[in-house]
Order: sequence, then C-alpha cells, then structure tokens
Amino acid sequence: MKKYLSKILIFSSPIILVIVFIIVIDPYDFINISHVISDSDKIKVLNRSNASEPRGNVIWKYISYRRKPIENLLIGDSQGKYFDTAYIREITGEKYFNFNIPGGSYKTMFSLFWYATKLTKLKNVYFQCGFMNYNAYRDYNLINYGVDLVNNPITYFSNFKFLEDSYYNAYYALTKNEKLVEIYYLKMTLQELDSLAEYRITNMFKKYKYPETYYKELKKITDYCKENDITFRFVITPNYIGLEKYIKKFGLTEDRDRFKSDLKSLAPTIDMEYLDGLSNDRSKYYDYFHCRREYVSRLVDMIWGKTNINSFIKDNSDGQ
Amino acid sequence: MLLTSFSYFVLLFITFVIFYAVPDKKKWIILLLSSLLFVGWLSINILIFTLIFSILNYFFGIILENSKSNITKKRLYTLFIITNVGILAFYKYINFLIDNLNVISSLFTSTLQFSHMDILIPVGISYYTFQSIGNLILIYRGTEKAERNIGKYILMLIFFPKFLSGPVERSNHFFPQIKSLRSFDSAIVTAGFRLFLFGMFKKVVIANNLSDIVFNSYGNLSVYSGMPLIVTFLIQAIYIYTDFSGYTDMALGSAKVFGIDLLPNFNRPFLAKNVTEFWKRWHMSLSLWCNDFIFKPLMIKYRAWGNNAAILSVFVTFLVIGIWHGANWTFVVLGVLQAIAITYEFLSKKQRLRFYKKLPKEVVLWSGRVITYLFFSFSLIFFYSKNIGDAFSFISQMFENFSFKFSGYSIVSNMEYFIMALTLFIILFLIEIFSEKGYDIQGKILKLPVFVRWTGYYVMIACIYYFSNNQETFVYMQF
Repeated sequence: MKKYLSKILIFSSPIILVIVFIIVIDPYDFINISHVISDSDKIKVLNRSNASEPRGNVIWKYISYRRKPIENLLIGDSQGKYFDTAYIREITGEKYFNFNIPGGSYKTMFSLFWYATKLTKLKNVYFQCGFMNYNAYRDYNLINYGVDLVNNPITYFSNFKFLEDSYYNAYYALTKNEKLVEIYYLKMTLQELDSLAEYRITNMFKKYKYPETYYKELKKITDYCKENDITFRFVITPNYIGLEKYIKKFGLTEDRDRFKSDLKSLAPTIDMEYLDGLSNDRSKYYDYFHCRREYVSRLVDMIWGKTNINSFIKDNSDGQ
Repeated sequence: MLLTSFSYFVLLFITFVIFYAVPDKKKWIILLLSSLLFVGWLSINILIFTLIFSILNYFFGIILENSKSNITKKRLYTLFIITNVGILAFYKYINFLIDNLNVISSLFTSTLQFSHMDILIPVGISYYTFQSIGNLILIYRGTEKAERNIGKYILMLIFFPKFLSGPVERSNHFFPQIKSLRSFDSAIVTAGFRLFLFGMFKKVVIANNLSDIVFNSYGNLSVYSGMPLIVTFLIQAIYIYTDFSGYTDMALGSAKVFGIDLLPNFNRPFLAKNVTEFWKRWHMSLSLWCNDFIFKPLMIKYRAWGNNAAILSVFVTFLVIGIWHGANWTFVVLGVLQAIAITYEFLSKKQRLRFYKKLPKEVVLWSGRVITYLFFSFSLIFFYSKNIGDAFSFISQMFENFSFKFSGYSIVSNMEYFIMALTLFIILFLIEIFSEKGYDIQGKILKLPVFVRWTGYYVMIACIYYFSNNQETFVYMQF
C-alpha cells in the first residue's frame, strides 16, 4: 500500500505542480500568502479581454471587499468602472470602494449591494444606472463567480480558468508584454468602434421587456438605505447622443423615460444621460455609452459636487 | 456533490486511504461513514429521510423472514411492497396524480380543483426504493436471508458511488461482496481509478460538449426548426449514452477501488440489432431488475395465455420502466413505444428471419443497428420533451424550413468543441465495434509501456481539467 501511495504521489506530481503554481501566482489574491506579482499587474491581466473582464472583476472585487469592507460604495456596470476612488477620496476625504462590474446586470448590482450590507454598515452608496441593462431579459447574475469560489474554494485549483489566469499573470510578469493586457477597444478605429456600438446596442435592445421586478428590488434597496441612515444616490452616466436614434428605432423612448422617472421616484438621481458638451461629441466616447476615461474625472467632479453639473457646457474643448 | 466534482474525488481518495489502513472486518464501516457523509453533504434532510427509509426496510426484511405462516407472510409482503411503492409514489408522482385528477374533475365541474403539494423529491429515491423492493422480493421468495447487520443494510442502500444514479444494485450481489472485503490489491485499485478516469472523460469531455444542442433545442422549441432539430434528433442518443455511461463508469470505478463490483449498466448498446437486444444492453441494472421482478413473474402467472402473456408482461414491464423515469405522460409514451417495438419484434420474428436469410449478413446486421438507433432516438424525443405537445411539436418542426444548411443558429455555443466531442465519440464507437468482434483493445492498451499509458492518462486529465468549467448537469440524477 505504501508503495502504491508513493506511485500515486509520483503520478500526481504534475497536478501538485499546477496547484503550487496557482498558489504562488495567486491571480485573485485568494490565498493571499504569496505576492510575487503586484496587485496592479493582476488587475491589468484580469482586464485583458472582453471575456476575462466581467468574471475577473467580480472575483477580484468580491474577494477584496470581503477582506476589507468599506462603508462608501459605488455600484454599477462598466459605465462607472473608471470612477477613480483615489480621486474621489481627494475630493470628499472619504474612502470609496468601486463595485462597478463590466457587463454587470442589475441582478449583479442588487446582489453586490446586499453582499456589502452583510459585511459592513454602509454610509454612502452611489448606484450607477444605465438604461442599457434595464431589461428583464438581461437577468443573469455575475456575482455567482465570486460566490462559487468562496463557497467552494477548491475550484481555485480545479477550475481551469484560474490556471489560465495564473499563466497570463506569470507571462505578463516575465515578459511585460503590453500587448497581452492592452485594452481591446483602445486599439479600435472610430469606424470599428461604431460597428461595436451598433452591435452592442442591437443586442441589448432587440429583445426588450421592462423589468417590473427590478423596480421592486430597487425600492427594497432604497427603503433599506432610508431605514439605516445610508445616503443613497442614483447616477445616470452620460451617453453619446447617437444612442437616441436606436432608442427610437427600437421603440423604447417611453420605457427609457419610465426608467428615469422610476429612479427619481425612489431616490435622488444625478441624471447626466445627455450632457451638453460631452454627449454630442462622438470622439469623447468609446462606443455610444462608454465615455472615454479621460473625461471620467470631470464626471466625478460633478457627482461629488466639486463642479457644477453643467461644467461641460462651459468648457467642452479639452475635457480635462 | 456530483461524482465529477473535485470534492467527490477528495472523499473517494480519503476513503480509499483509510479503507485499506483498517482491518478487513472493519472496512465496511469506513464505507458506511463515507456514504453517510456523502448523503449528509447533499442535504441533512435527505440523510434523515434515507436513514428512516433504510431502517424501516431493514425491519421489514427481518419481520418478513420471521413470519411463520404463508398467509401472514404474503400479507406482510404485500403491505411492505405497497409501503415502498407508496413512499416512492407519494414523493415522485403525487403532483402528477393531482394534475390528472384536476383534468378529469374539470370535465365534470369547475369548482373541484386540487392544488399541488409542496414537496421536494429526495434525490436517488428511485434507485434505492427499487433496491429495497428487490431485497424484500428475494427474502419473500426465500432465495436470500434478511440482513441482520443494520449498518451493512444501510450501506447496501446508500453506498456513495451509486447513491445518486445507480446502478440499481441487487442485495444478493452486494451483500456477499461487503462481507468479504479484501486487502489491498494494486491491480484492482488501479483498474478502479482507471475506469473512474475514463468515465469522467466520457462525461466531461464528450457528453458535456454535446449537451448544448439538446438543451437548447428542447428549451427553445419556438425558435428552432428543420436542420438544428434533425441534428438534435441524431445526437441526443449519443449525448444521453455518454452522459449516463460516463457517470456509471465513475460509479463502477469508485466501487472497484474498494474491491466491489457493482452491476454493469451498459454493454455497447448502439450495437444492438433490435430493440429487444437494445434493452439487454441499455440501463441493464434497471432492465434486469424489471425482467426478474416484473416480467418473469407475470409470464409465469399468465403462462396459460400463451403469446398474450408475453405481450401483457412486456407492456407492464415497460410501463414501469417508463414511469420509473418520472411523473409525466411523456415517460409513459417512452415505455409504451418500447413495448410496441418489442412486441412487434416478438410477433414478427419468424417472418423477419425468413426475410433476412435473403440478404447479406452485414446488411442485416447494420440495418438492424441503424433502425434500432433511430427508433431509440425517436423515443428519446418523449424523454427530453416537457410534455406530449412539445414532443409532437419537435417531430413536426423537424420537417419545417428544411434545409441542408446547418449554420448553427447559436444552437451550439462552441462548434469546435462540439465537433471534437463527436469525433471522440466516433473513436469510442469504433473501439466498441472492435471489442464486440472480440479484439481485446483494453488488454492491448494495458500492455503499452508505462510512459505511453501515463501520457494518455495525463492527456485525459488535462482535457477534463480544461472542460470542467462547464456547468455540470447530469440527466439521470433527477430520477
């Protein structure tokens, strides 16, 4: 039997090596023992592709928030992913956690909110909302990536995706090959970005149903915040005016208006959907609903009251 | 905890190490403890339910054996069987019964409607109920003694490799083995792990990559028609076979690690020449159980009826097999279809043999195999459909918008994986054909140098690792 066990050990050595490799690289700081790769590199790697971004962000943020919960939160989808918490801290003097998940559905945002309430007493919540995702057919929940890992830690070693992540981390750390972590939409021409925008919008709008249950869930959240003395704001981030054509084309104007009035009936809403000076300039967007990173700090200024919400009207030349 | 999960493998490995570290006489205790842990891990409620069920049947067996007079014995036997069937029927069929009562009552009155009962079907109940009934029948017939050790009795019902999905084990096959658990034998243990690995490969790499097309088609019948449904029709039998036989191999392999041989479930079913033979090769533990405990007793009882006895027995047996799969008229149709085919084969045997003599042997053989496969695929439409209406929609939609173009229609999420899985199945099928002809392919593989074999195992493990992120589903677990 002893001989057999040692034979099994020899046979298993490649598997053991894989486990050790994942522990050492630790792409999501899940084990949190080895730190051979910096967190900033890990974040770059998890954002390496359209496919890795949603999953990577959920897992990273889910684990990181679990380890260190913060009382001030930003929750939302990719439209708010560039909200810089360090800059917000500079303005407000308070620490914020950015729980914006690229590709995050409303269900994901609801789950993230309740997840945060379980870990800490919240103080400020900025709930970034977009009409694009406010669709009953977009009913997936990305938080499961994080929940599954925490509930079943063995998957960190048994799920191939984590080995793949570890490999990319190691490869990037060794080669510093920026192509690996280059954000795909930064390489695209305006024409390609337009096609991407059209593809995405059509995908999101061609099958639409107003999500009655989302309103109820949002109400539950705002009621909870009122009861628990939590300052709660909805934030509607700016879109390129070209989006309006598609909203009309798919007959969704009424639904969009209802969406906004629903939000406003529940909590104070910072509505920046179409900002003069920003929304009418295609070059300030990647696609039609993702404002370029360099303009996001201006939005932060507006949301946290450093500048007037109409500052883009006054100065639309450089955006800085 | 599915058999394909890493946690299951950890449980299997720890049990294996402790199992061979304790004296032979205590080995069954380790298996019992692991089985309790396995069931408890699924749900504490299931564990409690299963324990009560097992203890009840343990005493049924002893009481039945101890009853002196034949009349008492017969009455008790009937009562115990009804109790077992009643428990199964209550959990599995009560809401089906309510639905049908509502349909009937709606014909007479609109006021009398019964509401559904909010009950969860205990996982594995169809498997262990049939095992306990089988044990009671054998005790009643006097061919087996009631097990006096309650621990071993519970182990017979809940032995962890077979708990979720069978095989439908027989007590007279299982008890002798756990009473003579052997010391460590590296050849047997290795064979067990190898079978486990092979089963997992079949399930994770082949079946999981074929599952998309089946679930997408049946889940979105309003969207698909024509070619995608025809492809689904042709693939669905391969999917269910690789899924179920893969899982069974994992169960058989796990048990073999402890020196226990569970009943086999599959014997190259797609090489069956007719439906009668198919059911001797497909889900064998269930069909054998039904043959011994339903078909044969009925045949004996009604033997005076001649051919009619056979027809009656076939229909009753396949109705039970159909309903065993679930509470739905689709499963009734599934069973009836098999019964019709087998009856036809039985009644037309002489004429068919006369006709076959005029044809080349290989033509007869392969046309029989193809027809049997197509017939089975056809009956699977009722297996996968949510209701009879959906099944007929599937059949009619197969011939709508017919075109030889198969663009995928997003019915397969990854076409490369789908083709790879299909290719692997073809290789597997070729191995089955050669094995059927008597070539010992496994023996030849085992004679290869260690380096080659280990490389093969690593490739299989790597494939399993790569494909294991897919959401796990296992069709036969619902039964």
